[in-house]
This record gives sequence, structure tokens and C-alpha cells, in this order.
Amino acid sequence: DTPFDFDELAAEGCMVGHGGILAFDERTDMRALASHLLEFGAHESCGKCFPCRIGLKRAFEMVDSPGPVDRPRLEALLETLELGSLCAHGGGMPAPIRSLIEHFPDELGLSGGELPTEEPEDPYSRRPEERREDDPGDR
Amino acid sequence: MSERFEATTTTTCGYCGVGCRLEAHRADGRIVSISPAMDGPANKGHTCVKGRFAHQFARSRDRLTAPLVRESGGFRIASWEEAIARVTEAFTRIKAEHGPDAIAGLASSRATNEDCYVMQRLMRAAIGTHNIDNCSRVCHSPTSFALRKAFGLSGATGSFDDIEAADAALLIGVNPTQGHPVVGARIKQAAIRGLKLVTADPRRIELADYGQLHLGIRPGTNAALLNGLAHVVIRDGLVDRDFVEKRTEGYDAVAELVAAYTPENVEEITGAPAAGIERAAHLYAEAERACILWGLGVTEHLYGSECVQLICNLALLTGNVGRPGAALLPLRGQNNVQGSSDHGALPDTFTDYRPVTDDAVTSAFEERWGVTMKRERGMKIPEMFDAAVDGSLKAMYIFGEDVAQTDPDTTHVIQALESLDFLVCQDIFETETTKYADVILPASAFLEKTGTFTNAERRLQLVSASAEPPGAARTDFEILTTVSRALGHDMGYETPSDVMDEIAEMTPRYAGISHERIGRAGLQWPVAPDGTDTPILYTDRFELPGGRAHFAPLPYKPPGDQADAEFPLILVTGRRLEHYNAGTMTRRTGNLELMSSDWLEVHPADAAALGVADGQEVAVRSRRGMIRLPARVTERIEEGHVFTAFHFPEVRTNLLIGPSADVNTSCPEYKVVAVSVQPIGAERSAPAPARAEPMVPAD
Amino acid sequence: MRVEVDGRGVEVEPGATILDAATAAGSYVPTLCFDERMAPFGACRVCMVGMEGADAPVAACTTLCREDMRVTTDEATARRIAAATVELVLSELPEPPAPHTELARVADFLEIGEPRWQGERRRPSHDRRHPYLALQHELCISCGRCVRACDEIQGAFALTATGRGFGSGITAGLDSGFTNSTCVSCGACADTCPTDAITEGSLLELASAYTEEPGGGV
Repeated sequence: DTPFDFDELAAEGCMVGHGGILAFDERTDMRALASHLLEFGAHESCGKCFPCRIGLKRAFEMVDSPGPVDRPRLEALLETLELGSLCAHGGGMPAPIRSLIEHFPDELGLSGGELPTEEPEDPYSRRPEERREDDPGDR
Repeated sequence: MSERFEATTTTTCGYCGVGCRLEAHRADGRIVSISPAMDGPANKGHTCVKGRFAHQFARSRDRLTAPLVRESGGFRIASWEEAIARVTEAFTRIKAEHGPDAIAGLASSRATNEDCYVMQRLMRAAIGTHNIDNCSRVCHSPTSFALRKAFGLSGATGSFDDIEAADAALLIGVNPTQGHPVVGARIKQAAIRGLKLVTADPRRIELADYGQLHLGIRPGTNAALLNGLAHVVIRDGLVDRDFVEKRTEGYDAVAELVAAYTPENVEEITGAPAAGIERAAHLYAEAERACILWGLGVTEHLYGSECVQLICNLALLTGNVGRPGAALLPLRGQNNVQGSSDHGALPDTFTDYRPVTDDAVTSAFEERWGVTMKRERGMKIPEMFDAAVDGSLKAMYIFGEDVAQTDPDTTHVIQALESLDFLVCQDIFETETTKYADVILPASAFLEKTGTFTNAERRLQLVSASAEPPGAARTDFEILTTVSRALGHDMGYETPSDVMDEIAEMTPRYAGISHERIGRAGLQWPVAPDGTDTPILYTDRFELPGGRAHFAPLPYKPPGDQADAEFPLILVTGRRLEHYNAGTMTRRTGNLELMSSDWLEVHPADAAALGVADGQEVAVRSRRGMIRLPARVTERIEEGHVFTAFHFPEVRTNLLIGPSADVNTSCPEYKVVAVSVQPIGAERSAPAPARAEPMVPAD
Repeated sequence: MRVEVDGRGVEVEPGATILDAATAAGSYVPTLCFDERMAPFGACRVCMVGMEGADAPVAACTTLCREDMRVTTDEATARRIAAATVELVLSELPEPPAPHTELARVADFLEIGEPRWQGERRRPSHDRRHPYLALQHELCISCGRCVRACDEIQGAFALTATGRGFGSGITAGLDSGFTNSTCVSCGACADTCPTDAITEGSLLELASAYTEEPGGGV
């Protein structure tokens, strides 16, 4: 029920990309899909810029390993990829993951709830000793 | 980066004449690492395998750590008091019996300006003779001679920064990526960025691969090439008329002379194609800013000094001097070959090349030092050895130079050393020369002393001690001033900085120089009293009467040696990156692991004709001697020529080299030697000479 | 032209980068792949700064100044991205960077301690065939400085970037080591390396003595 057009798709947080459409039925494991996309992204990274070279690998490892996925950490990592990457590969790979987070938070096994909208308590800007206390994510 | 180190001292490299500024890092009480100073004006944060890594020699077990005196055919350790008493007693006795001119001294182009100045003062004031020289005699003395004749001053007309500012550059008889690696890297980068590079050399040097044009010329034909280039510049209307008219003298004679040097005639002599000669002339002369760089491939010839004058002609024809990007840059061999001569360690000149025959100059030094001096020049190095052999020279003080290893005609040198009544050597290692000494004084390496070196850009840079001399070894400054005091002439200096203050006081062109002003950036002489230095010389006048530069109409003359039926190939010698001169320093470091032996470069066509395979041992014979080494078949060398270096005394390359030398300056002709090459299997059993002393150019 | 960095106006030449302007203005911007002797590379993304009018942080080393540009070097998002990136870099290494290294200093400046990422790390692989230069591949962060120093300072072209993605690294020659490459042993690679992935072998022996202290390892 969304026309296949640039503006229409963009309004849904999606894009035309290369023009292909992948269809998934309701039995698809969305975490496995996220894992597959990130593995692909990490594999295709050229390795020049640091966020993409390491970040996609870490994002894949987060989603691929068992247990809940720390949503604030994942979203912070996606932001690093989006804003830090040199080219559209690292910058664009977060898009489908963001979409999965938005539409299938439970299937992804996210934990940690929404990121606060104001004055983000950014885990990266805190000192390591502070981080450990309130950062149960993958420890 | 400093936490790892106890201390870091900025100093100046003691290898080649580029003058890299280095950071010497100490830990555990010793120098553990050296890195380039990011603000070094010549090296700009870079250095080479020698400057950066080859410093272990200073901690070698072979270092001299105590004075040695001769006793019953050998040496024994002595106290400083005894060693200096022996020197004083011998010099005093010989001076009383034979006069001061029976004594001669050699300063070192490896030592600081202050050391060299103190050494010449020791000879001139404490002993009373102008018999003082240094080893620039065997490398760039032709450059000094020619630049003074053409322009007035003995030094590069510009700076290495002119390389990046230039549109074109002509490299002749120099292989910077091996001999002067940091300048080599700068030239290579400039060429990659668009500098139009022309190389002329008997070898296809690495930089030829980055240039517009390479001229593979026969050794000893530089003069023909340079006159041919001048011919094309004049023929094709590329002369800077305005510059020639306003700032030079003698153009007409040169124009007349070079008329015969058509590209075709020059091709005949040099072997370089006529079209290439024309193109090279256009590349150089049509550039708005162009530099010429040269090395010992120009100077170490029978007519080396004349070739440098012809280089000056080319620059004058095109107005390529005295402007940014338009410099004449001789690449000086040793770290302080410029400064040792600048500071009066020459038999005919005081500081700044002011002649001892100039009464006003000599009087000023007499007054300053409280002595009287002759108005006639002293002996040059070869004259000293002749005088020793004929018995008129009785004693020598040789400081930081291994003449028995590095000077030509070794048999003669050894005979001279053996003839002396008394020889004192001051060095960091026992050498071939110290074998003939009566007293050996243990001195300091560049990492252990304080003072200044002057690089190939005329830039004085500070040398700061980052280690202590080992054992009882002392700094050269301390030794020389102590000897002078013992001889009754107290120089009154407390530190090398005091020496520089005296130099500045006594030398108008160096008036503004002091250690404090040199600081981290260095100073390029002339330096005005207010400290203003001179990166570019001759911006509006030349330092000759009338302010005009002089053209020199000099024809091509054949080199001192020629190939013939018996010796059909021409040997050229030179340097390799990993080693330095006789290898005294680099062979005591890990550089030996990087290059452990030498080889002879042979062109594939010659190799095929001679039946020499790559890697095969060959015998190389000249009219003077024979050596053996493995061959390496390569197209880097022109057909008809072979090449090897001179860093390995066991190869004894310089056994092959004859007594021929530059007509004006006595600089030996190390670069043209007719030889034959045979695979070792075909060689008749010719035993190696029983006592074979290599002669190595100590540039 | 005139630009403003952290509230301070500076004059810069046309063609100057934001990093040049920040340096001129006395504002420190952390970097890992930058060396003033070489052309900017833009790979590490640690020099991110805030630029007025831009919707996202920009890399200071590769962004040219424009007239009246206003830059904030410690803008919150930019610093967040820079810190996250350096934490990712630390997460690759088998051990924390040695204290004297540039990486350790940048991590310290951005107040990053032990990285929280627990994934795959680089495996130790050493090459000590050269008499002076030691290669420690596991410490390589693929900043490309050694490769560019070899190309742009020395011109020996002996080092090459290899692999891709997480497997990126450098190699001397064709995996043949320094001595069997076109390397001229100038040491420019070791001088510029921000992690000791290439360093002087003798310094490693010296360092091994002083890092033997409690808490020195991971």
C-alpha cells in the first residue's frame, strides 16, 4: 500500500536503492535477517574508514551472539556508522537495521528500552568505570 | 613519545652533507633510538638508514677509551698527562730543531666547525705554521674553487627548498637516493609532483626513472655535455640576455668556444644522443626556475674544477642563479666538509676563505691570538706527504682522518707516515693510520660533542652531546685546547660556544653567528651582525669585483685514463645507501646486515661478451692493481662501463685507482679508471698483493 | 580567508582545511590517520568537528575552509562519533596501546578506557627479519600512514595496504618482509606509526622491561 517511488518510500524510512524488492514472509526470523545484513555489510566493507571497518563487524557480532541486544548501544553504533563513515556503505547499512528496530523490536531481542530524547546519557562519553555499573548489556 | 626515554637531545647528523636534524633518545644511560626532528630545515621530519639507525658504532667495543703511546714496537695505555707531555715534548723539540713548518696538521671534515677552527689555531698560533688542511681536498675542493671563481663564494647558491620551488632540475654526476638519501627523497617527491628532472650519469640512477630524460654519458665527458648544453641554449635563443648583460662578464668568449659543441659532436664524445642533448637544454633553459645539482661525479676528475665552472656558465646563460627555485646545489659528501673549509682548516685561508697572503687579515688574527704568522700559504695534503718522504716534514697531528685508508697513492702515504719522526693521531677507533702513530688520543663521536656543523646549504646547525665519550676518551675541543695550552698557547675558551663567538668577531661574513642565534632553525652564511642569514646568495650582486659573475670559456679535454685493447672497460666508483665511506661507522652497525658485501655492476651485453654470469666472481684489473668481487648483471650501468662502491676495505676497490688528479685542486680522479674484467675461472693465478691498502675517497 | 574556530577568528590561506584552521586557532583536534607531512587521508574519522549549518559532523582533515565558516571542535555529536570510533579501534587490539603511542594519547584525550566490545580481536603476528624494523601486525589499525609515508615522504613504495574490512592490514613487499622489498630502511613508517605496529626492534626489548608491571596486560 506504499507506491514504489522515491518520495513515498523515503517517507516510510525506506529507499529505492538499486530498485530491487526483497520479500519476506511472516515466518522470517528478523534477528537472523539483521545478522545476515550486517554480516554482508561487514564482508563488503573496504576497510578504509574505521567506523565501517570495525563498526559493522561489531554490529554483526552484537546481533549474531545469543542473548538480548542492548538497544542503546546498537543505536549508538548505528549513529557512529551513519555519521562517521566515509562512504555510503557504512553510512547506509544502518538504514535497514533501524527499520527492523522500529518495526520488530521484540523479534530482534532488544533490551534497554528507548533512548531518552533529551540530554542523552551517552555511554561513549562516560568514563569506563561509570559505564560498567549501568551497562549490563553484553557483560 | 618521550615517556620511554630519560632524555631526548636534538642534534645534527654526522653522516652526509644533507644535515638532518635528529632527536637522540636516551634510556638506561645510553642512546637507544634516533628519530628525525620534525622541524629540521633540510630533512623536514625525515632521515635515512644511516642517520636514524646506524648509531651503534658509538658504543662499539672497538672504541678507543684511553690514550695510547708507542712503546717497544707496540702501544700501551697511558695517562692523559703522559700522552700530552709526549706530544708537547716532540713538537717543541722538532720546532726548535727544524722550525714550525716541519710540523703539519690535518683537521677533519667529520668534526665540528669549532673543532676545526681550534685545530687550525693550534697549528697556526701554538705551533706557528700554515700547514693545515682537511679532507675536502679529495672531494669537493673543485666545487669550492670553481664557485669562488664564477660567483665569489664557496657554497651552494641556494637551499634544498629550491628543489621544491624549481620547475626543472639538472642532476649531473650525482646519485642522491644512494649518497644523500634525504635530498634524494625530496627530489623524487618533487619529480612525482611535476619537477622536470634531467639526469646525466654513466649509470641509470634511480632518479632517472622519475625524470623526463636521462643522458647516459661516458665517464669524464661532463665538460663536453655542459658545453653542448650551452651551445643549444645559445643556438636556440634561450639565453637570458638581460641577466647576461647586467650581471656577468665573459659571455662572448663562451659563445665563441661552444659554437663547435654541436649536439652531433657532443654525441660523438659523450655517447648521449644529440636529440637528448637538445631536449635537456630546452628543459633546463625554458623552465622559469631551474636548479643544477652535482656531486663527486663532476669533481673527482682530471678537470673536475673546470666542469663546475661550466655548470656555472649554464646557470649564468639562463639567469638561473640568485632566485628562489634557481639554485646551484653541490651535494657535499661529509657532514661538515663545507664547514671545515669555511673555518680556516686550509693551508691558504683563514675563516671565510680569506687568504693568509692578505696582510690585513693575517694581522688581525696575529693581534687576536698574540702571535706572529707568515704571509705564505702552508702545505696541501699531497705536499705534506711529499715533504715527509723527502724529510723536510718531521711531525704530523692527524685529527679524525684515516689517510692511510682514504687518500690516493696509498703506498706513498704509508711511506710518508713511516718517515715522520713523530705522529699523533686523534680518533675514535684504531685505523690504518694510527698504526704509524707515536701517540693516539681517544676522541669523541658526533653524538658526544657540542658545536656546529655546516651542511651543503651553508647552514650552521647545532650539534649537542647526547652521550658521554666512553672511558677516558674526551671531546676533541677539550683535547685540542689542552694540547695548545701545554704548548704554551692558552686559547682561553671555556666552551665551543666561545669559539664561535671568536669566529663571528673575526669574520665579517659570519658576524651575526652565535650558538644562541643558531637555535633550532640554523643560520645560512653570510650572517649579518643583526642575525639576518642568507638562504639565497647573489640576489642582486655577485661577490666578485664589480659585482658581476664570470663566465669561463673552458674546452672539453679527455680524462686522465682511457679504455684500450688491454683495459677495454671504464670503472666508475661511488656510494651505496647502506654504507658510508670506508665503513668505519656503518660496518659497526646493523647496516652490515642490510648490505654485507659489494659487487661489480656489469651491463648485460658486456657480461655476455666476457662470459660473466650474474653472481659470478670476477677479477678486475687496472694499470694499478687487481681486485676480485662478484658480478651483478644490470642495465643500470651503460655498456662499456662497470661500477662498484668503495665501502669494503676487503674488496680494496681503490687499489685500481691511479694518481691522476684535478688540475686546479689536486682532487683525485676517482671516477675514470680503465679496467679489464674476467670471470675468475679464466684468471691466471695472480696472488693478491701482500700488503694491499685500499684508497678510499674521503669525501 | 577568515574562519572561526571555537569562537576564535583565524586567517587561513585558500585551500586550508578545517584541521589547519583549528591548529592555527590553537584548538586541538584528535587524529589517528593524519600526519602533517602527508596529504590528508580521511580514514580514521576521529577528527570529526561540528560545522555551523551542516546537518552532521564533518572530518576536519579533509574539509576545506570557506569564508566565515564557524567550527566547534568539541561539538557533542562530533565528539561522540570520534570517541565511539576510537573505542572500536581499541576493541580490535589484543592489548591496550603502549602509553607512549599516539593512539594511547588520543584514547586518553577522549577519555576512553577499556573498550566494551568483546568480539574478535587481531591475532599476534610478528616479523623481525629486518635488523632494525619490527612489524607487529596485530597492532595495525589500518590508518595507512606507513604506506603513505613510504610513498609520499621517502618514495620507496615498499608498503602496501592488504585485505579488506576487518581483515585489513599492511604488508612490506609482497609479504616478503622489509629486507626483500624495495624498502630503503629509512624508518619513516616507524616514525609515523601511531601504534607501534611498525617500530624499532631495539625499543621493543627496552619496552618489555618496563611494561612488566601489575595491570600492564589485558
